[in-house]
This record gives sequence, C-alpha cells and structure tokens, in this order.
Amino acid sequence: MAVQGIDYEKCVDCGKCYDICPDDVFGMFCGKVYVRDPMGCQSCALCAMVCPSGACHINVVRPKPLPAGRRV
Amino acid sequence: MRFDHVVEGDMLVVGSGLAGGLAAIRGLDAGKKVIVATKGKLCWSGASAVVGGAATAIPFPEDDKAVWMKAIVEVSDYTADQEWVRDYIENGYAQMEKISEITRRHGLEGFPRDASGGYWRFSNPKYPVKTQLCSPYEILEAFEKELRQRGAVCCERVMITHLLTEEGQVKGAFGFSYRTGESWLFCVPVVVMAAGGCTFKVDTYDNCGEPFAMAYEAGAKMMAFDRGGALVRPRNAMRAGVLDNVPLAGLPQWLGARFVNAEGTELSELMTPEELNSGRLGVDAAITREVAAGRGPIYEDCTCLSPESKKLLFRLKKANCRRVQVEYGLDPMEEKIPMRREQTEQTYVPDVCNRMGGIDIDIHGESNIRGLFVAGDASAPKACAQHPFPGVEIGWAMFSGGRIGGYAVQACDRYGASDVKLCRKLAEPAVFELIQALNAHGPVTPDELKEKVMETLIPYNVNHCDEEAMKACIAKLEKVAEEMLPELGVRDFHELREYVEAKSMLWVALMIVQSEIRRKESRVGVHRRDYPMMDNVNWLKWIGFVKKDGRPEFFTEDIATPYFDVPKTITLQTRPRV
Repeated sequence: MAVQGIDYEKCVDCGKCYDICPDDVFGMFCGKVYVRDPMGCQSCALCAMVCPSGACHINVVRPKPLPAGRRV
Repeated sequence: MRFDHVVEGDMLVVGSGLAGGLAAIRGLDAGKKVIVATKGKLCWSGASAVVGGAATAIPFPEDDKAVWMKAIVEVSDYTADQEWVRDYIENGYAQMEKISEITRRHGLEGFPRDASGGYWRFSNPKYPVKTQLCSPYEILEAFEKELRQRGAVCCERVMITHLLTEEGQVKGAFGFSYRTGESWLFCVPVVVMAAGGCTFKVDTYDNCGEPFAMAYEAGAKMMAFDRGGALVRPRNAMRAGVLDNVPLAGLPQWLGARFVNAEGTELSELMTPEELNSGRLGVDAAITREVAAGRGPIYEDCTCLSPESKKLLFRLKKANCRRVQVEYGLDPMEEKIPMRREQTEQTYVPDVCNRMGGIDIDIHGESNIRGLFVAGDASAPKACAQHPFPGVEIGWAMFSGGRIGGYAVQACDRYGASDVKLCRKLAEPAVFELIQALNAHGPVTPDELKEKVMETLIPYNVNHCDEEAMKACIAKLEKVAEEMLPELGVRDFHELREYVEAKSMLWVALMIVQSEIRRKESRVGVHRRDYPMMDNVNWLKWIGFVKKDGRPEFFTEDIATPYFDVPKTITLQTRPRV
C-alpha cells in the first residue's frame, strides 16, 4: 500500500494531510488522523509536502495486481 | 425532495486543476457568480495534483508557427484538429502570460526564469520544438488564493455526478459531498467541465472518467476514445518513471542529474544504444543489469547540479523531495539516494493511458449540449494531447481553461439564469440512482471492481491486438458488468464516490474497445495486428459516439486539414507506440 501510515510520535494533529489529500486517503477521528483508504493513494506526496513534522510515511512501491489476474 | 445545499450562479466549473482554475478566474474577471465544485481540495485535486513533469510546451510568439503545426499534427498521426492547433499556437502564450501575472500577484512564480530573465526553455532532443519549465504547485497555490480571495463559491470534496439538462440545454448539476453525505444542487445555465479524463494505470485511481459518463448520459457527443495509448512500464515504479524518489526522468535529467552505480560510474555510460533510445524502460533495464552484476545499489545523484539548479529542482519537485527527506533522512540535493533493491526487480506490465478521448467540442469549446463547455483532459483534446511530446497536455490544460473559460463567460449572458424549481425536478432521478447505490450491500467493493476493469482491459488495449482479441475483451468486460455490478456494496459516502468512479471506469473501458474495434487501420493508440497500416486515404477520420435509445451509436467524422497537408499514403506507422 502506498500510504504506510502516520508516525503518531511526530504527528502534531494539524490535519493538513487530511485537508490536502486529493484521494480522501485519510480520515479524522477525535481530531486525530487515520489512514482510511491506503489503496486509494497515488503517491503524489502532497501530504508529506504539507506535513510540518515529517509524520506521513509514503511508499512509492505500487503492489497493484497484474493484468488478467496473474500474480508474482 | 430535500437538498442540503441549493446554489444559484452564472457558471459552474467542475474541477479545479490547471484548466478549471483558470476558467473560473476568467469568470470572476468578467464579474460572474462563479461556483467551483471539486472532488478534492480546491486546486489540489485530480491530475494536476500529481503533475509528474514540470514542463509545458507552449508556443512562443517568436517561434516558427509552421514548425509547431507540423510537430503537433504529425505527432498525433494527423488526428489533431488543425483549427484548434492554430488557436493553441497563436493564443497559448497569452494564457501563459495571464497565469504568470496571477502567480506574480501572490508573490509566486508560475514559470521560472533563467539568469537572463527570460522563461527557462529547453530544446527537446526528439522534437523540433522547445518546452519550458513551469511550477505546478505555485500555479495551483496562486489559483487557490485567487479563487478564495475574489469570492468564488468553492465547494470542496463535492463530487458532481449528474448534469441536469432539458432539451439539449444545461440547467444545472447535482452532486454530493463524500465526507458529509450532504447533497448539492447547482442551478446554472453554464457548466465548464474540467474534471480530467480517465486513466487506466496500475497506480492511479483518481481520474476515472466521471465527466465522460455524465456528459454521455446527458446526450453529449463523445469523440476519439480509440486514441487511448498503451505504455509498458515497470510495475513497481512510481508513476511517471522508473524511479523511486525524485523522478530523474525529465526535468532533473535536463538539469544534469544522473544515476550512478556503487563504483561511481554514470549509468548512461554503461547503457547500450538501444537502452539509451528506450527512455525510462531503457534506464530500468540498465539498473536491473547493474544490480544483477553486483554493482548495486544504483544511486540517484543530484549532488552534481549547480546551486541554482538545485534550488529550482527543489521548488518544482517539492513534494517528492520532502518525501525523500522523511523516508530516508537524506537531503536529496546534497546526498546520493540509494534505490532500494526490491524496486529494481521489475515485472513489466502494460499500462493504459486514456486522456486522449473525451467530450467533443466545437471551436468555441462548447459541446453539442448548449451551455456545456469542456476544458483540459475532459475535452476530446482535438488540439494536441494524444501521445504528446512532453508538456503539451499541461499546455492544453492551461490554454483551454483560459480560452474556453472566456467563451463560457459569453454564454452566461446568452443563456440567462436557470430555474431552481426546474432543477429540483430534473435532479430527482439522480437522487434515486444514488439512493439505489447506497442500498446495495453486496460483498464486492468499488475498488475491487476498478482493479477487475484494469485487469481485463489492459492486456487487450495494447499494441498488436486484433478483432478477435478485442471481441474477447468486450465479452469479458460485459461479463464483469453482469457479475460484479449486482454484487457491489456501498457502505458509506466515501465508497459512494468510489462506486461512481468504478462504474464510469467500466463504461469508459467498454467504449474504448468498442471504438478501437471500429478503426480498421493502425493510428495513434491503436496498433492492430490485422490492419497494421496507417491508411490516410480511407481512415483520416475521428470515431465518435452519442447516446441514442439508451445505447451508444457510433459514427465517423472526416478530419479537415486546412493548415497542414496530410500525405495521402498508406504506410506503416512512423512512430514507436511504446
């Protein structure tokens, strides 16, 4: 999955990632961000760009399915 | 029926990327009440948010117009609309200046300038025209500030699902907020559709062709779905490149960044001529070979750049650079970045990109539905953007946004206000359709449907397909529709958004193959095993379709050639397809 997760030790609850994400990958609960739809992420890295504390972790490896159901 | 929000205005812009943003600003300039509805955050959504390159190909006044015309028409295998190409060549620069001015107003720089104060331009080794740098993040930031400060009605996180029309005339649009579930009814005489195209990529899930599906349902003429192209790309790569981090292909490469192996040898010195000619695929093949030979890891190296280039690269690739800092704890400009071993083990998969087809427009940007204007990737980019050289798609988005936004403003006066009562009535079927989707509780998620569509379409919509393969693909897609659609489950409004996306993707996939099967020759995205020749004598045509009696009715339309003579020949395609 592209969004690996939030580092809560660094997260300052500013909600900027939730605010900017084009794909609605993040959700909010009690003022805290969580990853609601990691597969929807397209690695644009805007969340990492706006995060003031480096708490958003994104992987650019895209383990998407192969055509016609082939898997490696 | 009760709607949470009913908004009246002169002009609704759907989408707020480079095209939609500029169209909306044109509306504000003319003193119109402009509403912007966007699926993501204002100005940071869709394709613009992931703009991979930072290059745009806009003709400058001092350029040779004939060279540009030839380049664009030839690169499109003669399918470009020459009237639009001429307009792009003559008026593209003015739109770029307009964007420059907007960014300057907010203390930003949309198009970087070099030491001599001119726009930073590069010669392209493969094409006879120049591309120039642009800074998408700064443009988007300026657009956002401009729209908010000047009082546009900004509806963020709102997905438009239906166009409301009566007797071939736009009356409004309907949508919902996928975070809150609130319904939005827009009563407007003019809609500028700038919500992107449909992309079938193994890694992009956001541009799903909803503008196409809703315009088709409203009766719009669709065009050139057969121009979808196929690319073969490494499976485990970041979009837009082989690379892990700061995608070196493109901009950094132009600036002088490089790949080096563990011994410090530059990768380009180790590549075969074939690899050097194969773009990203060649780079990836060379990386794989070097790692297998024990000379890994391969590093991305921007340390050799000049201080000015480093500064510029950081500005234009801010998001990626920031990501490298977070993930690696490295400064991408001062330290070499090792590529991870697992990312050099690649499986190559076909990847389909269909930003080529779309809603047909006339020379004023209006579709056959009065009041429906289309800009950016959503328009059948008659001017350029199929298999473009780098930057034409971004150039078209900016140019068409400004130009067509201007035409839409004029139409506001022509068509007068829309009636709220009528809009309420027209929106009723749309509401029932979404309610029905929300009532579905099957086990299949919309994401699974999207994946299935890609799995089914991608192997067929590549080079060397023939009639038999296409028929098999159509049958498979129809089977997917038959088996999966009734099994879908929509658990919340976020999934309702995905449901609309998945359904339109499935429909677009079907329309692509059904359009391609009608082209009995090879041109742009279609390279047919059974008809390998490009036939300028009989097939200099666009293929389109329109909804009739609930089904798509296909037609062809001759391509006019007023400014550039097309050789009347039947030859093999001249340009490589992958």
